Amino acid sequence: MRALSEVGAGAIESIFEPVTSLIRSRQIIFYLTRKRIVLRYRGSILGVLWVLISPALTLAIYTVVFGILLRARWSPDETNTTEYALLLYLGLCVYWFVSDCVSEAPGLVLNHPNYVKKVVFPLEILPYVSVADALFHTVVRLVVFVVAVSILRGIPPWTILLLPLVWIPVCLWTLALCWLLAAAGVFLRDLREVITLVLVAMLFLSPVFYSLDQMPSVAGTVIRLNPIVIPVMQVRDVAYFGVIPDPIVWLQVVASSAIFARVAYSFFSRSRGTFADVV
Amino acid sequence: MSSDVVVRVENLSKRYLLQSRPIDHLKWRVLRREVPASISHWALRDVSFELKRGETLGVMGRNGCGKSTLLEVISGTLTPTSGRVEVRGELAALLELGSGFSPDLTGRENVYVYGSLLGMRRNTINARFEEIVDFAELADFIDEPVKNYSSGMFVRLAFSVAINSTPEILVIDEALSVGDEAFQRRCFARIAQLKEMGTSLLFVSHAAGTVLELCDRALLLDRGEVLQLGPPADVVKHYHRLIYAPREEQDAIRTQILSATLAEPKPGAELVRGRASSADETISAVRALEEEGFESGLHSKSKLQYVSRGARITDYVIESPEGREVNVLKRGGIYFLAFSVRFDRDCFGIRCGMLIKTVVGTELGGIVSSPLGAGIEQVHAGRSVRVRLPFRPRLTPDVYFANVGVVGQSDDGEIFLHRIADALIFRVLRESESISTGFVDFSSGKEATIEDEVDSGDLATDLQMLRSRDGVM
Repeated sequence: MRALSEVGAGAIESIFEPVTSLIRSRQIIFYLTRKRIVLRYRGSILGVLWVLISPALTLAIYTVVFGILLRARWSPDETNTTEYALLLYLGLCVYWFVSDCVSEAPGLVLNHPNYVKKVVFPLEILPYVSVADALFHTVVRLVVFVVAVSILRGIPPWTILLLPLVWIPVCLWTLALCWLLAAAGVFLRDLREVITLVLVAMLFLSPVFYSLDQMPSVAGTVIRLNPIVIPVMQVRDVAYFGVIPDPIVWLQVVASSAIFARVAYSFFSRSRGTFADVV
Repeated sequence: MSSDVVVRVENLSKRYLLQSRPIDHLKWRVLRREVPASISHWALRDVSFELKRGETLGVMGRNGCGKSTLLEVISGTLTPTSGRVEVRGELAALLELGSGFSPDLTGRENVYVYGSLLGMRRNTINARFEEIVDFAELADFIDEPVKNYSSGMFVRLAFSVAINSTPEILVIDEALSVGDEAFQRRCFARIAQLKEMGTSLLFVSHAAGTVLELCDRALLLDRGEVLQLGPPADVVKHYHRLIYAPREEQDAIRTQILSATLAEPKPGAELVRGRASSADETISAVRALEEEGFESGLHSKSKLQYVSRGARITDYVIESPEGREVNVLKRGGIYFLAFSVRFDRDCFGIRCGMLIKTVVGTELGGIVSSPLGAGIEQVHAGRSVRVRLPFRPRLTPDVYFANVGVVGQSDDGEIFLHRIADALIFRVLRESESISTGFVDFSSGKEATIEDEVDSGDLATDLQMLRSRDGVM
């Protein structure tokens, strides 16, 4: 039985509210995520196989284009044709994850007017659904990576098992961005266009296509402000180079991401009262 | 909050802002600025009431009176501008049927998604799945995407899930009017069952019959204000007066209803004195107010004149035997439906008639001036006649419409020379101890008997069965 609840008066929220709402609504999140995944491929001939095929083909194309045709190399003394493509792919896995979630965030509430007005729906779980969907695809992409690495370069280092740990802060701040953008997007309809541009900048101003060492130091400082820089490098460290990330740095990032997420969640739940009037 | 109150609404107001940009809302909210009055529309003003455990409350009112807004605020999808809503218990809301459905998913998948939106656990849904599908009569289509469903199927499934989620409070917005007759019957039966289990029900309806049948109390909303909260029969009467009133008389009627309600015990006082006593008082008070007569507010607004083919009906009224014009009739009394017919050309085989219908247009029955083939043989052009059709309204208290018409023989057989649909509207007086249900009064004046059967014996169970069946019908 739901405790006595008040609509209108600002009820006091527990600090763990984002977590409790995740647990409370886990079922809906699960169904909605599955629905998104299933719906995306329903009706296509290969169906859910596409989840696997598209990253595999992408990686193959990168290998051919960058490794063989363009002869791109991560470091000047590198001789291997496949390394660049594999590292690029790992970086893109991080970027795709973030951009899948963030690009749709401004429309998250806006595009579900039924959930706002016509059913009693826990709107705050929508970012969880985005993130869960993106996580699912990321896992598949990384599985493709593991298979590719095993074929091209041999068994990946054991540190690859740390990937989930590296992904935790990314999930946290992506969720935060989703809450912020989803709430703001209701009022500022221009956000969607802005976000598209920001995401492009985020991609090119990050060590996805190049190594940070190749940058002039000033540019390097600027680029470090980009939130995907650390995760991109950490993911490469654990999944390819076999380097364990600095635990202190990791803890700092997790802590600050968690605080960011909590603040963003508050922002979202405070503004949700107005959604129905505007959507 | 006292333990048997499940929803309490206190001084609730809701303002909509017309012609505002989304960014303005943010501005007003963040800067706490005063919102310009010119764009404010108050959909609800100072609404207060309580819903008790196991109680069914019907919300009535004209279109745009704030009914849906009220339910949305209670459900929590809308935030009130001022005032508060307290909800105690699990609440399921059917604000727009099927709005929680995803068209691309199959019926089965939607049952799970929608069920979990309504707060059902996976195990619960598994356990009740069969029941849900059976209730919706969709066993053959449950694995089809719901976008291929007919609107009736869609709605049946949504309703079935909601009603099988056994909420403590069920909020329904005009959903009972969907589905065919049989489905509606089953919904009513299921609602009665939920009521017995202690579910409170809050619903919006335009159907007087539904409100009278299901509700313990009814709420009349108009222009966002509560005009009346009281016994359903009373509220239905006022609702009808309000919707059939000409625009210029509406204000007067509103004031009348408000002052009539003021004379009744206020909802607050009712709590102290207990429900039964206040209900009795209200009924007796109204009985004194009611007698056969003419209510100026009661006008047919759906009058439809058909093309004249040689005759024209004018001056149609219902008269008492003394010749007084009336539109509030006593059940079983004798009245005359009188009208004049002017003939523009020579007509043959003339018969005049009338037809009584319910508010939703179900034809209940009519009377003609003479049997087929026995009409007035010939009427010359330019003549006028006055027709008086005696009739006895054996009808239960409600509002009814009457068509009038005149037919004549032509080369193609009998045709309508003129007719007016919904020409007249009348109301049948309420009675405090009616035993009739539905529209037609089948009572015979004799008392029903219930006796012990020689062998079976358990009278109490029989009585209970009778009573529960009565509740469902």
